[in-house]
Parts: sequence; C-alpha cells; structure tokens
Amino acid sequence: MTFAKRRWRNGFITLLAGAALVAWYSAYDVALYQASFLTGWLLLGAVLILALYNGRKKFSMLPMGTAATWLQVHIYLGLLAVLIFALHIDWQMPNGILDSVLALFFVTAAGSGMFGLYISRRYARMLTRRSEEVVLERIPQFIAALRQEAEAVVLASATETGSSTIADFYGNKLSAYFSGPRNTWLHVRGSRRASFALTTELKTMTRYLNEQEMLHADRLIALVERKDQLDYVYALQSLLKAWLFVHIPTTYGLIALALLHLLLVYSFGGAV
Amino acid sequence: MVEAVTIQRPRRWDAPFSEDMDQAEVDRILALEPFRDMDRDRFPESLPLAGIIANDTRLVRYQDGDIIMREGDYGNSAFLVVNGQVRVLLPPGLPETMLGRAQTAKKGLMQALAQLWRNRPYAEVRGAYSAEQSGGTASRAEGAHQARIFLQDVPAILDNYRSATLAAADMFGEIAALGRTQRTATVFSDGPSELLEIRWQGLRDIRRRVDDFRRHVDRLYRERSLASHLQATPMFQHLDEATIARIADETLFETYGDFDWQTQYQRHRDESFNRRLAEEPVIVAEGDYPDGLLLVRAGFARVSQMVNNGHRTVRYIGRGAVFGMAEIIQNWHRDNSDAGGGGAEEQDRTTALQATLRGLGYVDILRVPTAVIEEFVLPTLSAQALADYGQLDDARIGFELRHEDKGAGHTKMDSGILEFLVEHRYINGTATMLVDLDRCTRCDECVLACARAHDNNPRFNRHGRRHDHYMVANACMHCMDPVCMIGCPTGAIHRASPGGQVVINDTTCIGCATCAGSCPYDNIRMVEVRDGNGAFIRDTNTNAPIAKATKCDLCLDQPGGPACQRACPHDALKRVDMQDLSDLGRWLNR
Repeated sequence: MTFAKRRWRNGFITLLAGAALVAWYSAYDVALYQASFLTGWLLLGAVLILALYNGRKKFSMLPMGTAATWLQVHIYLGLLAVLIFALHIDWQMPNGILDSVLALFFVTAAGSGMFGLYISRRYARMLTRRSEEVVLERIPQFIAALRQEAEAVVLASATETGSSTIADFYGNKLSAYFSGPRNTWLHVRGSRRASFALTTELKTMTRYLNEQEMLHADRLIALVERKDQLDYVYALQSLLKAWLFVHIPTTYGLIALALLHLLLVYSFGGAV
Repeated sequence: MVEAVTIQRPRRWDAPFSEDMDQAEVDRILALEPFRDMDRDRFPESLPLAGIIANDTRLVRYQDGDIIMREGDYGNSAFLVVNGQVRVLLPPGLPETMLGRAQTAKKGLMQALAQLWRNRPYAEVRGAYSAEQSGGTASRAEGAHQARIFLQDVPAILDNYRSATLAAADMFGEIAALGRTQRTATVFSDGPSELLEIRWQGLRDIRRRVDDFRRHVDRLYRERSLASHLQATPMFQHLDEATIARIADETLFETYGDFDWQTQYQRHRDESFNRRLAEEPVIVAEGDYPDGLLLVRAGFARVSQMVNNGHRTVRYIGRGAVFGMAEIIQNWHRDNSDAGGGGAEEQDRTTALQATLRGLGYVDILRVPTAVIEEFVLPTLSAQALADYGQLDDARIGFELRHEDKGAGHTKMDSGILEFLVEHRYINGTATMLVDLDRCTRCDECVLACARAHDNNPRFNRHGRRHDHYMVANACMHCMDPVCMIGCPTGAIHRASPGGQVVINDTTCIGCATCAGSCPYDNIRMVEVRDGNGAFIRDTNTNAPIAKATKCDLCLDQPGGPACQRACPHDALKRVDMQDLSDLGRWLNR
C-alpha cells in the first residue's frame, strides 16, 4: 500500500471515529448525562494506549507487531485524543489550577507530538538532500578532527609565508567556530545566514593574501564548509532526538496528573 | 615529468595454489589416472597440463575420519584420490550437528524478554569454548592457516550411516566446483589418505581441452541435475519425462565470467560504469538471431538495450530465469504463417533478440537450441501460454516489470535505482537491507533492536552506498551466491535449514577471516571476543586475542524475525529479496 493510500485510509477511519464520538457525546448530553465522565474515561484510556508505544520500542524483541504499525495507531489515536480532550474541556480552558496544569500538560504532549511528526518527515528529507550520513554521537569527534586540521593549515600558513593574516582571522573568527557545534538554531530554522556571512568574511580576507597564502586559504574554506555540514547535521539530528525529551516526560506527567484529577473528581465531584 | 612506474604484467600463475608442488610431485601426478591418458598436445604452450598440475593443484593428506567436504558447503575445487580411500556418505547423510554446524532454535517469549536483563555489558562476550564442539566431531589445527574437522568415531559412523567407497584415481566434487552449487554429500577419509585438490581454474582448463573429461563432467550433470532443472522451468513443466530427456540430450552448457567474481568486483567497483560494463561478458547481443533458449543455471545476468550510444539496463535475471523465448515464438509464428515462403524478405522479418544479455560475475547458462524448442515445446504450449511468453521486451517504452502484476503501475522501477542495484551486485541479496533515507529519522532504533537481539552487539552498520534517497546498509544480504562460504576451512559459515539464511557457527569459527575477505560487500566483521568479565580471550600459545567472524543472522533465533525491520517506526527499512521484483517495486513506489 502506498503512503498516500494509507494516509487516506487511516484519516478516514479517524474521521469516522471522531464523528461517532461527537454523536455519542451529543446523545449523552441531550439525555442529560454528564458527558464529561464519558470523555474523561475515553481520554484516559487513549492516553494510556498512546503511552504504550514507548514501551513497545523497549520490547523490540517480542513479536508484538511492527513499530511502524504502532506509530500509525499512535498518530491517529493521538489526533482522536485531541478531539476527545476538546470535548472534555468543552472547548474552553479550565479554571482550576490543577485542571489548568493538566490541560497544559496535554497541550504540550500533543503539541510536541505533532511537532515531532512534522520534523520527522521534513528533517529526514533535508538530511538526505544536504549531507552525508553521520552518526550524531560521532560529530564532536569529527569536529575535533577538523579543528586539528584547520590549526595545522593556519600554522603552515604562518610558518611558510611569514604572514599572520590567516592566523589572525582564525584567532578572531574561526577558533570559536571550530571549537564545537555552532549555529544550531539557525540551521534548525533552515537559515544559512551565519555560514554565508562567515564565507563572505573569508573571501573578503583573501584580498590581502598572496598566491601561496591563497592555497592555505582555499583549504581553510573547504574545512569551514565541511564544518558547516556537520553543524547542519548536528542541529537537525539533535532536534530529531530532543523533542522526545519534551514529549515523553510530559506524557508521564500527564498520566500522573490525570490519575490525581480522577481521584479528586470521584472524591469531590459527585461522581458515582 | 614524473617517470611512470613499470611492473611485469600480472599473470595467471603468479600465485600458485600451493608452493609445495615441486617437479617430482608434478611428474608423479602426471603418471596417474586420469592425467596419464590425457593428450598433452591439446594444451597450448602457454597453458601446459604440467603447468596446471604445478599451479592449480595441491596434495592434501588426511587422517582417519577427517572430513574432506561437507554436504551443503560451497567449494571451488574438486578432489582426486591419490592414495588410500575415502567414504561418501549416502542420503540422508550426517545430521547438521555432526558437520560442525549449529542448530538454531527460536527463543521462547520469556527467553526473548530475558534479553533485556541478561545481555552482557561488554562487547562480544562469549562463554567458555569447550573442546567438544558438536556431536561426534571435533577440530584440530593443521599448520598455521589450516584446520580440520574430523569424525571422532568412524566405525560407529560406518555402522549407522550408508556410505560408498572411492579409491585411487576416483574423482569427486567437480560438479559443485564447476557449477558453483552446494556439495551434495559429505566425504571423509577412511584411514590415512592422500588427495589431489584441483582448484576451479585448473578444472575449467582441463575440461575445455580434454574431451573425455568434459564428457565425464557433462554426463554427471546431465544424470544428476539437468532433467530436474528443465522440469522446474515453467514452459517445460507440462512435458513428459521422455521429452525432457530428449531436450536434455540436446542442451549445451556454457559458462561466462569469472568464478572469483567478487575479487574482480572489489577491484573495479569504483571505476566508471562504461569500464565495468566492458568487463561483463556478452552472452548474446541485441540484434543477434535467437539460436537457442537460454536458461540461467547459476549466477546473474544483466538484460540491457542500446539507447543511442549507451546501454540501459532493463532488468536482471537470476537462477531459473529464461531469455529469448519471445523472439523464438515470434519467429515460429512467422514460419508457420509463411510456410513455403522465404528469401530476403523473410530474412528481414526475422525477429532478432531485443536485448543484450551480459554475465554479472559468474553465470552458468544452459542453451536449448531453437530447433529443439520448436519441435518439442512450442507445439505443446496453449495459445494463452504462447501469447504470454511471446511478448517482446517492451522496456524501451517503460520499465514495468514483466510477468509481475502488470495491472499495477506501482511495480515500475526507476532506471537509476535498477542500474545502481545491478552495478553494485546488490541483486545477489535475498535479504538486502534497504533504507529509505527520506523516511529515516536516524533514530537508530534498528541498530538498538539489533543489539538487543544479539547480546548488545549490533550486527550491521547503518551506513552504506546511496542512490538518490535509498541506501543499502552494510548488513549481510544472505546472498543467492554466497561467495563468503567458499573456502571456509571448518564449514562454520553455512546455510541454515530450512530458511537458507547464511549463518556462522561461532564455536567452529577459527577466526581466519576468509569469509570476511571474500564478502564483496564488506558485510562480515572480525571481532575479538571477551569473557564474562570483559577480558579478551587469548590463544594459549601465542597470547593473541581470539577473533571470530560476525554478521547479521536475520534474527534466526528471535521469535518475531528480523528485529531491525520490525523496530523501524517510520517504514524506512526493509529486508528485500532482490529476486522478488514485484515486492521491491512496490516498496520503492510507496
């Protein structure tokens, strides 16, 4: 099945389920039942099922279906959960502190999930188009190697030509650049402003170089470009991992707060 | 100006099979059957029989019970008994465990789950290796680079298993060596014996020049495998045994390419496309008269068509495939409708071959002459079958795969990816790891899942050659033609039954790295193993760390199958059988 067909199928099923849910909710409401109890239990159930997906990843050795199938369920059930949440809070922000915090946790978990889905699809393509394959954890090593290479070029330039132009430029502009990943936020936003500015400055500096120095400058420019590539990969891959540090803890926090909310509702809300 | 470095052009016998074949040994061998009766004038001066004996053979001495070849192994040499006798075990043969192979049992659910806490914290931890390696067999070192597996209780084997004796001047193993197929029986030394091992190149040259020898090998093949191969070909399946036998009698055997194709591939893989294409032997060329139906018996072939000044690959074919049937049918129809006609006009209307067929690496071809097909096959095919088989290659219009779900456009394959897969010989894989980089978030869940399933040791690298947004990762492809298995001295690398996955028995692996060196795709890694405390296990004599070959085993012992594929949340990774073009096409066009 193509991805497009799968999207249509899963989207249609979710839409049907959503419509059925709204109808059920309306019927409950018309019958003067407390529909928020229905949506509350459904929402808790949905969130618990959504949280199981992370467990599935840990138990990859068990034959529990593919992670891809689980992710599809996670995505579309997550969308359905947003609708249930909206019905549960009656499309208004709650008033109480606990309820407000609970709602904030839900919005953060759902929002980070959607953001994660978006960058998972978009960044994967961006990484493919603009870079070679590099493992995130090894990038600091590669940057260190580039730094050593750049310093060797600068030293060679100074000793062979007796000129300090390149060395001065390195000390002022490039030393910090080569010391670790840089311009992370700019890369994440898709901006190439910083690397463009640096390359422009480098090219401006070449006006003051003779032919022999130019050879060293060209090598330095190539190293800057490679470093820029690594920064780009570092930025995108870091964000591809970092969003989970928001999504997963807020989900667990959400479950804990939801259980507390449930306890309070049943203790003081007149339920039963 | 820099002066060019000159060397003597490398020649075939620069690296003889053995350094120990001196003139006295060569003379002794030449005096034995069957070499004694061979007409030496049939061999050119540049390739004398004595030269073949000196450079393409070696004398090997075996002790009682030594296993000479194992059923199921791949080998590139045949053996001639010089002194003593050997035993061939008749079907059903020895159990797998007695051949130095491991029986892999699937883990239960609890065992699989227990990997979460039982996996060791150090890399490549192994338990203590016992001297008793498998039921009934053991191994011993034989020189610095040799090891032998031997049967511990020969009398019991002879009592319990049927066997046949081969004595001096008997030859065995030539069919598997020439046809690149698995050994069909296990052979062991019955008492001390001396054997002449003849490598493939020598066998090939003798077969070319000695009619008796060629007839002997061809007869063996005709008797043992040809009929069953023909019967398995779809367009022959309806024929009776007598007709199949007549077709078999007329069938010609042809071999193209280099037996050691992996070596050549490794040498040329970074050269230009045209250079590599020029290295591929042409089996039949586009525009040739179809003088026979070609059946691929072993190996792979590229089907290409001329486009202006270049060749465009339209598909690849492998074992069991046929080539040229459509053109033969077209010409047969024309002949039948024009009965009695002829001349130049008819000649013009002859349908020539629509594509070129080139050998990829090593390929064995069976050529059934057109006249035989016209006499025995075409008249017996239904009108529907004739119409199906008679469709000419329409690849110029598109790349829709023939005989594969034609109604579905999603089986179309981009020509670029097809060229990429063929050029790099990824078509050899039955479980090639393809990664769609447009879907892959580089989360490494596949690597983590693999590590969890293998005692915290990932068995592949999420790295490899790329074409567009597809990557073929460095993971064992479980090849159709597993060149890694050729030359393993202990048979540790073998095909698991019944799935046919290529696996390594860690216990019998001696760490010689023959398999790792042979793998054209760099998918086998040598690792230094540790004990449970993280200390390297060392050789008692040399103190050198013990090395073992490791690679993907397709999670043979895991209850759910390949963990990497199941763990990918984004549908980015798939283990693809490259023979299943329909499946591949669907995945590429999702």
